[in-house]
Parts: sequence; structure tokens; C-alpha cells
Amino acid sequence: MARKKKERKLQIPELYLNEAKIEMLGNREIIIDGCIGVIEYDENTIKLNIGDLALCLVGTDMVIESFDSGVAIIRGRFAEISFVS
Amino acid sequence: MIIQFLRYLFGYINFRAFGGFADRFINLCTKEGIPLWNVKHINGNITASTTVGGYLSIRPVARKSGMRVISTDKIGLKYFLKKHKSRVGILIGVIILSVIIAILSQFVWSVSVVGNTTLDDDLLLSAFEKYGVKVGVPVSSIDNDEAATLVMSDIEKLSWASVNIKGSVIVIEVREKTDAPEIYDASKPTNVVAGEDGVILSVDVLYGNEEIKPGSAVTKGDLLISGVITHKDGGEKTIHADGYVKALVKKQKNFSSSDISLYKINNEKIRKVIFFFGIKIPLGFMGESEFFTEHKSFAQSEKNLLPLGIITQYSADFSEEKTVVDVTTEEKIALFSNALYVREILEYSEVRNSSVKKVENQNEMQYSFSAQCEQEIGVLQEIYVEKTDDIQ
Repeated sequence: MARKKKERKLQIPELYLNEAKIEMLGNREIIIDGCIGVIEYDENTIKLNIGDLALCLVGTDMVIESFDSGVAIIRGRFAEISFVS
Repeated sequence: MIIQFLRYLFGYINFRAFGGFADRFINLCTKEGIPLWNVKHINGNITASTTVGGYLSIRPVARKSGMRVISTDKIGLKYFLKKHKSRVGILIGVIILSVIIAILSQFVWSVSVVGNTTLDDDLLLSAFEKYGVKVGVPVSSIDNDEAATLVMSDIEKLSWASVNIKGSVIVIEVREKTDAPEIYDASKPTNVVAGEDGVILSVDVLYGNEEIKPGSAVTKGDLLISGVITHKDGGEKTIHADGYVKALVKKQKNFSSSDISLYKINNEKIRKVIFFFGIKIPLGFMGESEFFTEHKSFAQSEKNLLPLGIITQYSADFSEEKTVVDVTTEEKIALFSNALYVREILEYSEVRNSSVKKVENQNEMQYSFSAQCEQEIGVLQEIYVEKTDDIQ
């Protein structure tokens, strides 16, 4: 709800309201706003549910720094990022 | 940083979860509002951190996802205090230390002076001390503007002063007055005459007529550069003569041990004084004496002196000694006098060669010092002109 309010204030087009926002800092950190849940989690792979798609992160030393209110912060050394429908 | 501090303040638990489905476990935790952070997947196990409340409600979630949860570490202030409950002394020590630091930070730790070129640091520090700017006084009691104004009125040579308080450190910034240059009065008619006997080495005339050539011998008072100009028609006019006249001058002086008064040191006393935040604790007694001096030695940090140190005080009385001293001492005294004289000569001349000869005397040891010096001997001498109204 809070996210939607924010988006309305920022006048983001209706078309993109349900899309997850992904922010990357090099290949060391990724912030996903709009993460619904974790689909798969093992040592080298994290697959996240971001609505219509799944975000697949492959890498090493991956740590879920926090996962709260639909915002997931993941740190590590990402080797591959892909979207799976 | 703030989040980490709050987590430490309220306490958190590191745990390990294994078996079952890690993804389902994380999803259920999020759904149940159990905060998780630092979630790592290592060798099939999950390690993560959660709040104390979160950990208490994690078991049903773990059961649903088929995982077993074991706490590995409890971190937080309350756990720290619980762990060190038996070590109350450390806690009391930390509290006392904090209180001491808090109290001492209210006082002045060091006072320093910057910007002075000719005025002595000690003179300025003692002037400011008179108006309360000193080590050991409460910072709040210092009226920096008033102190600066009062010291500026006391010391005329100061053109500006400012007392800057930086925490417990006071830096006094000063600027000294620049003396007005001496006005060279070139309106008076003058001659340049010899100030001493010697042999002329060089003459550089700025104004006037050169009256002497290099190589000539002159005695004190001889005219070197004349300020009287004679015109072709026989008329004369006076000007302000000036120039540089360098001559080889012979210096000679006899020294003996009687030139210097000898004193005997009586009641010599040395004592140490502990200095702590402006409080001086003397370690011993010391009466009033004719001579008193002290040497301060303070603890020092990287930048400033600390208000902690030892002052070594020295006091003594002197009585004039008339007794005959041994030959070695007599020699030392005479040579010391000689050295003082050489230092005096070197201030205004260049010594070409010098020699010291021992002169045998019945009563005392004498030394004769002689030197040849190159020095400027020209001295301005005013020409007195009588003005008359009768022009024929």
C-alpha cells in the first residue's frame, strides 16, 4: 500500500505500478522493491518471485541482507541475472 | 549504523536452520512478520539473525517448512550485562571514568599562543592568566573577548588578539604591531666623518664630494665625504652628504678576572612541584630567595600539552665573592669576557684576524685581545649654517 501511494505521488504511469523495481550496485548488491517471495534458495542460486516474472540470481557469497515489506536486499558476487516467466 | 546499534540495544539471536525447504521458511517468516537479516546458505544449512520476539515465534514456521532451528548466539546489551553480571567492578569503573572525563572536559586543558614574533610566549601567557585564561579553570568562566581586549590594552605591542576556545583547548592568536619606519631626514646639510681610526678600504659616495681615497689612514673625526659643494662661479651650497666608507680598524682590549664580579651561591634549593589542572602540589619546602627559576615539563599529546606535568624549581642566594680564585678559573673568566667582546664586535663588523695574548701582571692574570676588523666608519655630522637676511 505504502509503495503504491509513493508511486502515485511520483506520478508513475499506471502501466508500471505492478512491476518490481530493481536497483543494482555493480555486481555486489541488488535491491528489489516488489519482491513477493523466494521461489528457490541454495548456495549459488536465489530465485525470487517478482510478480509475473521470476528473477534468478546466480553467484557466490550470496546473503539475503534483509527481506521485509516486499523489499529484498541481496549482497554477493553475482555472475548471472536472468528473468524467468 | 543506527540500525545495528538498535539491534544491539534490544538484542538479537543468530540461528541455524537445517533440513526442509529454505525458500518456504523465508517466505513464511516474511508472512508472519518475523524479521530476518544476514540470511546465508552454507552447506545446506541456513544461518540468519532475528529479533528476540521473532525467534520466540519462529518454531511453528520452521515446523511448517520442515526445518529445525537451533540458536547459535545471543547478541545484545542485555546478554552482555547478564554475562558480565559478576564483574560489577568493570561496570563501575567505566561509569566512574565516563563521569571523570565528562567533568574534566569542562575545564581548560591547555593554553597556547600563536602568531607572536618578538613577544615571548611566557609573557603573553602570564598576561592572559591575569584575566582568567589559564589551565584548570572552567571553560564557561572564560570571557574570551574581554580577556583579549584587556591584554591588548596592557601590552602595547599587540595590535590584535583573540582567544579561541576549541573544547578544552585554548589557542590564543595574536598579531604584533609593526613599528613605523624611521624617517630619514635628508633636508639637513651634513658631512660624513670618520667614527673611528683606521685605513680606508672603500668609499661609495651617494651624495657629496669624496674627500678621501682608499688606502688613506684616517683618525676619528676626519672628513670623509663633504656636504659642501663648490660651484664653478665660486659659490657654495650645502647638501646632505651620505655614503658608505669601509675601513680596516684595529680593536684592542685587555681583560682580567676582575672585570667580572664573582658570586658565591648560598642556600641552593631544588624542589619538584606536581602540576595537575592548574593545581600545583609542591613536594618540599622552599623559602624566599634572591634568585628563582623554574623548568616546566608537561605530558604531551600529538598536538597539545596536557595539564599534567612536573615543575622543577630552583632557588638560591648569592653573595659577592672577593676571594682569590685559582689560575684556571681566572683564565676561564678572562676568556669568557673576551668572547663576550668578540660577540659585540661581530654585530657591526667583520673580523679579519684576531689574537689573544697573556699579559703577566703582579696581582692578576690579564689577557690582551687584538683584532683587525672591516667596518663601516662613516658617521653623519650636521653642518651648522647661519642664515643671514642680507643678500648683496
